[in-house]
Amino acid sequence: MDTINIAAEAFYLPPEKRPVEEIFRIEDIPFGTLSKHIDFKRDIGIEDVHVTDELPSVLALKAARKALEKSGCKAEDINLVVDFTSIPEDYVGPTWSAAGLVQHELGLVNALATAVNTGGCASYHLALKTVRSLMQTDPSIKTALLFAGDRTPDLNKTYYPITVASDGGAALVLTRDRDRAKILEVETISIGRLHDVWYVPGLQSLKPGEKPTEAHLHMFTKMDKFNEGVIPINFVMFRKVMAQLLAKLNLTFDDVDYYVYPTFSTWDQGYFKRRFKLDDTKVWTNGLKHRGHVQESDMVINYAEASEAGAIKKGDKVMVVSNGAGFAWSAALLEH
Amino acid sequence: MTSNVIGILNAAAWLPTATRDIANIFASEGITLTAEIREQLGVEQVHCFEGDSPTEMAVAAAREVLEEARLKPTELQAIIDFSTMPQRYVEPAWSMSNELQAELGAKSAFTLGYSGGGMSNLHVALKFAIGLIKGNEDVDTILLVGADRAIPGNRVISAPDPVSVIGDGASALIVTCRGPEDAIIGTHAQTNGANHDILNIPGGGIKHPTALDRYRLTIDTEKFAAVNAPALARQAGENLMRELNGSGGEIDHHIGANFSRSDVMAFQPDGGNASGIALDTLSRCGHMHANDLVFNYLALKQAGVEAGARVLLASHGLGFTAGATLLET
Repeated sequence: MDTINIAAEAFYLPPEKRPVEEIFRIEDIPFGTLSKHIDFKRDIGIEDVHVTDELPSVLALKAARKALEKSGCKAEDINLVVDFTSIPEDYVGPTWSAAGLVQHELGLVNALATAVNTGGCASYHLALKTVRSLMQTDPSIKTALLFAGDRTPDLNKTYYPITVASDGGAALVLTRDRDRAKILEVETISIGRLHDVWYVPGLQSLKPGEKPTEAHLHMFTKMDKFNEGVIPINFVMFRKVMAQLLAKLNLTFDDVDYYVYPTFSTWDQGYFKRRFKLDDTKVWTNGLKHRGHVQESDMVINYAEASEAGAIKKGDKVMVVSNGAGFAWSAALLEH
Repeated sequence: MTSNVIGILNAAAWLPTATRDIANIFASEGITLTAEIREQLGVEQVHCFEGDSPTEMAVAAAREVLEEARLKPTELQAIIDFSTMPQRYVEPAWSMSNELQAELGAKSAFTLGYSGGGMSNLHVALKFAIGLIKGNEDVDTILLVGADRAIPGNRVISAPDPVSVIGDGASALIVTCRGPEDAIIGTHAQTNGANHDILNIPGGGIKHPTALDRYRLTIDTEKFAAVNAPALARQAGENLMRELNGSGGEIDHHIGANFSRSDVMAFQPDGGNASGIALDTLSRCGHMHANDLVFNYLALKQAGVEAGARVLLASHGLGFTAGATLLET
C-alpha cells in the first residue's frame, strides 16, 4: 500500500493573551491540592494562554489556509477535508461541522467534506488513522486537508484538574508523494465505560423551565470517575498503545527518536518523561508556559514547533501520543 | 482483512413503541395541517422515543444486529456512529460511540463518528469503514450505528411551509470482509460547501450558546429552494456508476431517503417496488435522517430481493452531502 505523508502542518494562535493568574481569579476553580505534592494553581506551569472572540470556524480556517499554502497544494488538489475539532463548534453537532464551511471558503471544489468526532483529543489520531486508511485504499483520494478550530466558551479556560486551554486552530495536509513525515502506523484504544469522564451537557440537558447559560457549553468532569477510572491506568494505557503500535512495525521503544505529547501541565509532562525515561531533548515541552493546552491541536502545534526548532530531524521516528478526554489513548508513529 | 469482498453482514432497525399521528404533531406545534400539506409530506405518524438518551435506541439496534449476525461484541474492531441529531451530550466533545462500546462490551473496538452529512452520513461512514477494513489487517468487522431523536416541539421542519416531519428511530449495520451477505460494490459521497448550513441547529453552539429559541432543526429555505435535491441523489448514483467504470452493472432497485412524499416521488418518478417501500416507511415513521436508508433497505429485503440483484442507495443530503452506495445481494 502507498505511504501517506504529512506534507505540511500549520497552526493559528490568536494574538491576544490572558494571564492564567487572571483566569484563575475569574473562573470557578476548586481550592486545595491535587495530591501531597501538587497544587493545581501553583504548579500548572502555564503563565498565559491565547484568547479570542473569533468563532472556532474562523480559527480553523486561518490554520487550514496556512497549511494549504505551506503544502504547496492548490485548492482543487484537495479531495477530502476532515474536521477533527473536539470541543463545541459554531453550531450544534453532529448535525453540523465546520468541514463544509472550510470547503466553501477555501474553494476546495473537488473535496468531500466531513468531520470525525470521537470525544476529546483522540480525534487527531482517529482522523489520521481513518484518512490514512482511506487514502491508501482509494486511489481517487490523493490529498486531504485535516483541520481543527477551538474556542472555549466564556469562563471555561480551566479544565480542572488537568490544564488551562488556549484558543487556536491547527491543520495538516496529507499526501502520498512527499518525502516528509511518513505516517508509519496509528493505534488507538478506547475504554467506553469512561465515555463521560469529560462531557459538555449542552442545551439538550436543560431541565424544564431551566434558563440556558453559556455554562451549558462548559466542559465538566466527573471527578470520582476521573480519579478512580483514569488516573490509575493513564500511563499504563500510554505504554500499552505505544507497545501495540511498535509491535505492528516490529520496532521497540529504542527505535523512537522523539516524542510529541499534549501540553497539559508540568506534573503531567514530568510523569510522562519519568515513566518513559525521557529528557527534554526527547519530548517537546516548550509550549506549556505561554500556550497551555489547545485540545487536539496540541499534537499538530507541538510537532510543528519541534520540527521548526530542529528538535525533530530528517528521518527521525516520532511518536505522537495523546489521551482523549479520559477514555482513549492513541499513538501515531511518523518518520520525519 | 480476510477476503476481497467487503459488504453488509446484517442490518437492523429499531423503533420506539410510542407513536403520534401527524394531526396531533401539527396541532401541538401550532401549525396548520391542510390536505395539500398532508399529501405532499406523506407522513401519517411517527414513532417517539421517550427514554433518557438516543444511546438507548442505538444499543437496542446494535444488540439486535449482533444477535442476528451471531457475532460477539468482542469481535468488533470499530464502532462508527452516523447519527445526525444531538445526542446525550454535546458532540464533538463527546461521542455516542464510546457509550455504546461500554454498553455492548465491545472491548476490542475503537470508536468514532462522522458528522455533518445528515441523511448521507451513512455513505460517508460506509466509505471510511471500507477504507479501515481494506487498509488495516487487524480490522475486519465494524458496527455502524445511527440513533436520532427529534428536538422536543420540533418535528415539523420549515413551518409554515413544512418540508418534512421528523420521526425517532435507530439502525445498525455490520460491515465485514468475513462473508458478508450483500457485497458493497462501491460508495460515493460529494459535498457542496456553499450549503454547509442548509440543515442546521443554529442555537446551542458557540455562535449562539444560549439561544434556546434557535435550538431547532432548521432548513435554510432560500438555499434549499435553489437545490434540485432529488436530481442530486440521482447524480450521486451516476457519479458512483462512472467511478465503477462499467462494473456497476444494471441497477435493479433504487433506495432513497424518506424526506417527504414529493421528494420520494421526484427521486423515483416511475414508482416501482422501492418507491412503494419508501412511501410506506415514510408514512409510518416520518424522516429519520440516514436511518431511512437502512429501514428501506431492510424493507426491500423483507419484500424479497432476487440473489445477485443490484441495489443502489442514494440520498441528496438536502444539497450539502449527496451520496450513493451500490450493493449486490
